[in-house]
Amino acid sequence: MELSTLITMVLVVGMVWGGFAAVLITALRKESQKSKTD
Amino acid sequence: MAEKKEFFTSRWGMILSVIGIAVGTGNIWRFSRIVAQNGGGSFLIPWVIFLLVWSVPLIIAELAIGKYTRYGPIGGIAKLAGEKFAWMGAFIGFVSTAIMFYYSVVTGWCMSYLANALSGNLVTTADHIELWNSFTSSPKPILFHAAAMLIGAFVIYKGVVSGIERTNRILIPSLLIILLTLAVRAVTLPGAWDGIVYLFTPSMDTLLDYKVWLAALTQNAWDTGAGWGLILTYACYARQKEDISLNAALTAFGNNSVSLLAGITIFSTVFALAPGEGVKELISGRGSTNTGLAFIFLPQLFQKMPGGTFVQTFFSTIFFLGLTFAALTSLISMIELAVKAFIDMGLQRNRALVMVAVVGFLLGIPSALSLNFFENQDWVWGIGLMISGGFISFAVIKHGTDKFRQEAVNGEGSDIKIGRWYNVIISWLIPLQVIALIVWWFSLSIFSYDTEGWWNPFHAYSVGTCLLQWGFMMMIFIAINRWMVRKTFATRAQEA
Repeated sequence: MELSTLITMVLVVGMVWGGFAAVLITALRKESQKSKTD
Repeated sequence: MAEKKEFFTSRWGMILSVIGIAVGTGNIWRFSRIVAQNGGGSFLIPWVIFLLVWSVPLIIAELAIGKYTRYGPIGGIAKLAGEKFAWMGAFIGFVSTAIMFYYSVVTGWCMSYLANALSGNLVTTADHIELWNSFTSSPKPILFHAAAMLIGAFVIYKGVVSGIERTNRILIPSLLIILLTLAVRAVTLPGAWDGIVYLFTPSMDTLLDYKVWLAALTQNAWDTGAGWGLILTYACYARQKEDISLNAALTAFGNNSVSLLAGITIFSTVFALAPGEGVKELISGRGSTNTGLAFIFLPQLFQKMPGGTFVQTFFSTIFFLGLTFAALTSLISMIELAVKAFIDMGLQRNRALVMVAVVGFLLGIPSALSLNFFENQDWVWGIGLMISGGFISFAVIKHGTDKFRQEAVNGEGSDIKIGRWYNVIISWLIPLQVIALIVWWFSLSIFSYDTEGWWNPFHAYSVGTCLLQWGFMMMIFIAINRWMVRKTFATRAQEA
């Protein structure tokens, strides 16, 4: 596997799946804060 | 009698429902074909960039308009941009409804192939092209189209919470489990790694090709549900304390995560089971290109899967089950959009539903009977979606982008505050992207698809057919603009 393939894989997977995981974790945290204040 | 107000019961109920809109058959069959045609990894880079500059900003706008105005597209655009622009909202709604007419047919195809896979017929048949041709030339597509419309209508009949939310709470996690199961099987096939390497390998030539960038933008425009008016409709049922921006990002990233998973699965399968020839099939397609991949090429690959008939039947069945779930969750949102537009104008939900389901069934029949008609409608209203995205951007600009950002996006319930960068994207980048997309697709018609008859309104892939059908609908909506506004706002005033 070439280096450019590895970099693209890390970038794309990191951005898409990593981005989704990061947003999901933030949403979970914000939602639990909201439920506490409710 | 005033319509009973329903809201999604939780953030997760709403998110799953909105992801249900975004995740459709395009994530599974169109994404892989377009990646293959546009140089694998070279396509993925602009695809991620346009996720951020097309999908996320438009989903933010739709969620905010729906929650802020509590109206579907007609009332939402009229309230935001001014009453004389209600026709733009009607056009947005009609484009998605016109897609609903033939998307119900597509859902029916998936259901029929699910039945075929379940019976074992799909893995024992000798000629998949013949199977597909005999299916599409028989009356069966009409029956399955009717069944799809009935199921969709039943979900809408049950209401927002018991129908839309509950269905998506079941179907979306099930779809993810199915895709993960298929992905695990695919990547563990001997030779699968070659497919993954192909998927992620970039080339500088294709990365610098503007056509690849436009293909990536188109995929985001069609695939994420941004700018369709569907997310706007579901946002009408968001709780007052619901967030906008994080939910928009969750939807867009969730949708593209599913596309990537489906891409890894299909590329692994193709390279493992059809080494050499497989990728050429992906690029060229067979029959109607998207349908050729799903209904002809992939069933052939299932037959080559190691493990015998039982294993082949199991994996082909769960593939078409996943495809059916993806199609159904999107179809449901299209039916709800049309129903909500009529509810806003004073019709009771059940009456509106019967009307939409019956008309949707009748107007879907030509697409069920003729693939040429189906392809014409897909061409006309697929590009029409880009105009819808432009109209949403126009409404936000007309309202005042900064005012919209502060009041509707960063208002009550927002978990994160969106900065001024949003003003630039929605006011400049979205309109620029809309113009680029329409010019590109029209130039494809003029210089590639139909060089002789691109102006002819009766040719399937012509510029003329788009202008005629869009123009006809726009003229009708402009003519009845005042009536739509009066009906929509009078109903809410009576309720108040």
